[in-house]
Amino acid sequence: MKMASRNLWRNVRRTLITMVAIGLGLALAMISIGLGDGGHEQMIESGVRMGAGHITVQPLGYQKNPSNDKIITDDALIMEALKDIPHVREVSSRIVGKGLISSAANSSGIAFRAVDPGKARDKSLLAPHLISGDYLAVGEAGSILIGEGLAQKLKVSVGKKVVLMGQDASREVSSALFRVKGIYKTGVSDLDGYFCLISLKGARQFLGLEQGITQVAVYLDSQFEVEKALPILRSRLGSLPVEVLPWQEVMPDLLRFVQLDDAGNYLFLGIILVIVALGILNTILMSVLERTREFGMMLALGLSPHFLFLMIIFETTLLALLSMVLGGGLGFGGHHYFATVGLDLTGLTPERLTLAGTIISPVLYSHLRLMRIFGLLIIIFLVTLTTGLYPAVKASRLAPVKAIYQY
Amino acid sequence: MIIIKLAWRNLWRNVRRTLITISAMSLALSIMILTLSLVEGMHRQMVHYATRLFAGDIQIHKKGYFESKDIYDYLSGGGADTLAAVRRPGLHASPRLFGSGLASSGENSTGTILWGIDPQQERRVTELSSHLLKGGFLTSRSGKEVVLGKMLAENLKVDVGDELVILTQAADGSLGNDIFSVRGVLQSIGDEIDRGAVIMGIDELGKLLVLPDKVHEIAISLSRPEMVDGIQAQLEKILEGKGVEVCSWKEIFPQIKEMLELNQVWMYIMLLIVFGLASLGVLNTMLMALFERTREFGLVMALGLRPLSIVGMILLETLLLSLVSTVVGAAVGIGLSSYLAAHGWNLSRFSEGFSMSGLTVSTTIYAHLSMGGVFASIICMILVSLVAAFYPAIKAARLEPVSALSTVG
Amino acid sequence: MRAEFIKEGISMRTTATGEPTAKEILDRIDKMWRGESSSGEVTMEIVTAHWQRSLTMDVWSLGKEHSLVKITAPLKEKGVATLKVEKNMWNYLPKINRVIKIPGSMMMASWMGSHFTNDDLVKESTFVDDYTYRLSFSGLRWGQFIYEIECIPKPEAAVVWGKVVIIVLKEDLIPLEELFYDEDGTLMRTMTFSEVRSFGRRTVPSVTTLVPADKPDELTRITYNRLQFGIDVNEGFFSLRNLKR
Repeated sequence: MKMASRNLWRNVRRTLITMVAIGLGLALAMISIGLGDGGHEQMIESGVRMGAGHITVQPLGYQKNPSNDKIITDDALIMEALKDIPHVREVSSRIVGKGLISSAANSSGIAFRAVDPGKARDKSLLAPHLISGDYLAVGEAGSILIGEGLAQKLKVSVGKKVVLMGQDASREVSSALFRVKGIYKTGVSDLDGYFCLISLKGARQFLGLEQGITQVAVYLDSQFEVEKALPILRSRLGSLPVEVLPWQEVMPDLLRFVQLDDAGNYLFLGIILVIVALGILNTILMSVLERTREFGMMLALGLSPHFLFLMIIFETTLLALLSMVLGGGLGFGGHHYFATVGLDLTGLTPERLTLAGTIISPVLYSHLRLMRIFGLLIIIFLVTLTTGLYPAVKASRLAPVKAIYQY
Repeated sequence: MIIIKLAWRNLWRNVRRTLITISAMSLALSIMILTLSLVEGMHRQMVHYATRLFAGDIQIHKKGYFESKDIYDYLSGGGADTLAAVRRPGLHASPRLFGSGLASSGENSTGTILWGIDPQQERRVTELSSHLLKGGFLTSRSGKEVVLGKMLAENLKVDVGDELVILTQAADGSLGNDIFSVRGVLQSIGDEIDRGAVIMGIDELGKLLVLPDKVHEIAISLSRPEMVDGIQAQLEKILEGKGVEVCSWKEIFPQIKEMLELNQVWMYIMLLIVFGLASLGVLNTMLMALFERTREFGLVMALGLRPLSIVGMILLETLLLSLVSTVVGAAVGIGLSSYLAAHGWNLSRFSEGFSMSGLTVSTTIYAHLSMGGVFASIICMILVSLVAAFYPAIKAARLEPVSALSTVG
Repeated sequence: MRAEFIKEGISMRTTATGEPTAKEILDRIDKMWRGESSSGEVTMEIVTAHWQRSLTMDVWSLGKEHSLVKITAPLKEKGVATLKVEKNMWNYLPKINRVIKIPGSMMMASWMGSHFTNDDLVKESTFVDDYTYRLSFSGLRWGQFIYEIECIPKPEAAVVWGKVVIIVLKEDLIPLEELFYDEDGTLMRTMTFSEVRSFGRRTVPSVTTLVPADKPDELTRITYNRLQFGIDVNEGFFSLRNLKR
C-alpha cells in the first residue's frame, strides 16, 4: 500500500497528468449530466404547466379521441376524491376547447383554456409573460388573456372587447363577450397567436354549462413523484368514468424528446469514458513497462508475483481515487455554479423556442441527483480498475531475469 | 535519409511502447473523427428535416406573398419564366399553389389549407411522397384525388378511399366546390400539414380556385444544401426586378435556424471537450514514452550526438509515430463514420421521434463524414503530439549525459 | 335575420305631434325586419379589389329563425342554396349534389364571397335586445330631416362593435344608414339604404349597400327586385329536402 503510493509520487508529473485527464473527464461528465438533467426537468415543468399537470384526469377516451362534447359532469365528486392525497400539491379543474374569437376588425380560430384564477401553478404559465394588463382575478367571468400576436391580428388592446364563439356540449353554436384583461408575450408563436385563457366561471357562462369540466390537472410536489401518486389517484377515481394519465402519456412528444436527448448525452458520456479509460490504460501500462527492470529486480529478490499484482492494482485504485476527488471537486463546483447562477443562453436565442410542446427557458439550471453521481463514480472507478488489470497481470508474470536484461 | 531510418529503427526497438503510443494516438484520432462526423451528421439531419419534408431549401414567391398569403399574389404562366431562370444543375424546383377552404365529410367539416403540387417535380424536391401512413401518393397534376394530414383525416373521420368535399372561395369570387377521393394519408411530419393540409394536383387546385396556370410558390431543393446562402444570393441577382422574393429555409423557419445555431454551439463545446481530452491522452502518452527514454538519450549524447540532433530526432520520431497513427486512426474513424453514415445509429430503443418547433424529427442519427473534419482532426492530433514531444525533447537535449545515465528509467 | 334579407317597410308617419322616442323608432325598424313571412328575388352585386360579380337569388323567410336562399344566376352557381334554421346553416352544392353544414369555425367567413359573414346571416338578436340606445340627433342633415340613434352594446352582449349609429328619415322612419364603429370610435363598416320602393302594401328601401371602411373601393350591394309579404309557408318548408330542390 505504502509502496503503491510512493510509486505514484515518484513520478509526480505523470501522476498529475493522469489525474487531470481522469478528473477533467469526470468533472465534465458531472457538469454535462447536471445540465442535461436540469434542462430536462425545467422542460418537463414547463410542459406540465403548458399541458395538463403532472397527472391529468380527463373523460374516458379523451386522449384517443378528443372532442368538445366529452365532459366530466360530476366534477364535485372528483374534487372530493382528490382531497388529501400525499405528494399532491395543487389540483386545477379546467375547461378546454377550440373556438373562434372576433373583434370589430378581425376574427381568428383559437384554443381556449378556462381555469380557476386562484390556482398558482396555472397562473405561473402566463402571468410572468404579461406585457400589459393583469392576470385574471378570482370571481371574474368576462375576462380573457390573449397573446400579443392575436391582439395584433384582432387590433385590440387591454380593456377592449372580443366575442368568443364555440360549440357547446350539445354541438350548438354559442357565443359570449369577453374583455381583454391582459396581453402576454411568451415568444412562442403557437401560444401568442392561438392560445386564450379565461376563467372557469366565464367558460361556463359562454358554453351554458351549469357545472362540469373537461380536465383536471394535478400538480405534484415534484415530477419524481408521479409513480408514487399515480396508483393512489387511480384507485380513488377508479369507479368514475375518467382516465388518469401521467404527463408521459399526455405529452408523448416531450417524453420522447427527453429520452432522445438523454441518449445523445449518454453517447457523449460514453466518448468521455472511453477517452478517460484510454488515458488510464496508457499511464499504467507505460509506468509498468518503464519499471519492468525494477519489477524484475523485485521479483528476483523474492517478492511474490501476487504482491506485485496487488501493488499495481493499489496503485491504480489510488490513482483513481485521487482523480475522482479532484474531478468530483471540480465537477461539483461547476455544477454548483450552474445550479445557482445558471447557464444563460439568452444571447444565443433571441426568440423563445418550443420543443415538443414546451417553452425552452433560455437559462439552464444544473440539477444533479445523488444516484446519478454515484453511478458515474462507480463507472469511472470500475473503468479505472479494469484498465489496471492488464498491466498488473502482465507485470506479475514477468520472468525476472529477462526483465532485468531488457535494459 | 539516414536520420529518418534511424528514427524509424528507434521506434521499433521497443515495439510494445510504440504500439501503445500508436494505439492511443490513433484511437484519439478516430474518436475525434467519429465525434466530428456525428455532430456534422446531426446538424445536417436537422437541416434536412427543416427542408426536405416539405419546405425545400429555398422558396420563391411573388413579392409580398410570404407575408400576406394573399391568393392574388401569384406568378403567372405556371411560373415558367422563373422556373426557366433558376434552372441549373444540382437544383430541383417544384411549383405549388395554395388556398384555404372547407373540407367536409358527412357531419364533420373543418377549415383547411389546400396545397396544389406537381407530384413528379415534388418528388425531386421534397420527401412528402415517401412519408405516407397509408394509401398512395398523387400521381398527376390533375385528378380528383387528395392526400391528407393524419390529424386532419382523424378529425374528419375519413380513410383512404372515402370521399371528401372541398369548398372554397375561388379567385373570381365564385364558390369553388368539388368531390375528391382520399388517396392517401400522410404520417405526422409537421403540425401545419398534420392538422390542416389537403394536398392535390396543382392543375386541379387551379381549376377549383379559378387560378389556372398560376403558382404561389416555387420550392427548390439543392443537391448541396450547404451552398444555400450562395445560391440564394445568386438567384436573387438573376431574378432581380422580376417582382419576386427568394427566401431560404432560414427565413421560413427562423426558430429552427436559431435552434440549430444553439445546438451547434453546444456541439462545438462538446467537440472541444472531446478534442481536449483526446489531446491530453496523446500528450500524456508522448510525455511518458519520452521520459522513459531519458537514460537512452543520455547514452547517445555521451556517444557524441549534438543536442540539436537529439531534438530533431525526437521530433522526427514523433512525426513518424503520428503519421502511422494517422493512417490507422483515420482508417478506423473513417470506417466507423462511413458505417454510421450509411446505416445510421438507431436511437429508437430510447425514443420514438418528437416534434421540434412544429417539425417531427426521427430517431436515427446518420453521421456525415467531411474531409475537412478529417483533416482538422489529423492536424490537431499531429500538432498536439509534436507539442507534447517538444518539451521532453528540449529537456533531453539539455541533459548532462552522466546524470541522465544514472537515472533509472 | 338582418335587413339584407327582409325589408319590411312600415308606411307609417309620426301621428303624434311630439317626436318619437328612440325605442319607438328602433321598434318600428325592428318590426320592419321581423316580417312574419316573405319571399322575393334579390340581386347581389359584389365588388372587390380583384373581381366583381353579380348573383341573382330567390329568398324565402319565416320569422327570424328560418330562411332559404337559392341562387338562380349566374349559370355556374345556379342551384347553390343556403338554409338557415335557428343558429345552424347548411349549403347545398348542386354540382356535387352534397349538403355541407357550416361549422362554427367558419361563422366569420364570408358568405358567397360578399362582405357579409355567415354570422351576419345567422344572428338573431335585435338592437333592442343587445343595445342601449338614445336619440342623439334630430334635425336637418344632408338636406333631409333625420333622426340619429346611437346604440351602445350592453356590457354583456356578445357584440364586437363599440357603437352603432342608425340614421332614419324623419318623414317615414325608413333607415338611411347604419354605421358600425369599434370601441375606439373608428368606423368599421357602413350600410346604406336607398331606392325606397313599395312592395305590396309596404314601402322599404330596396337597395342595401355595405362598404367596409378599410377598403372603401369594395362593396356589396343587395337589390330587391321582387318582394312579397305574408306568404303561405310553414317551418316544414325550411328543410334539407327543400334545400336540394
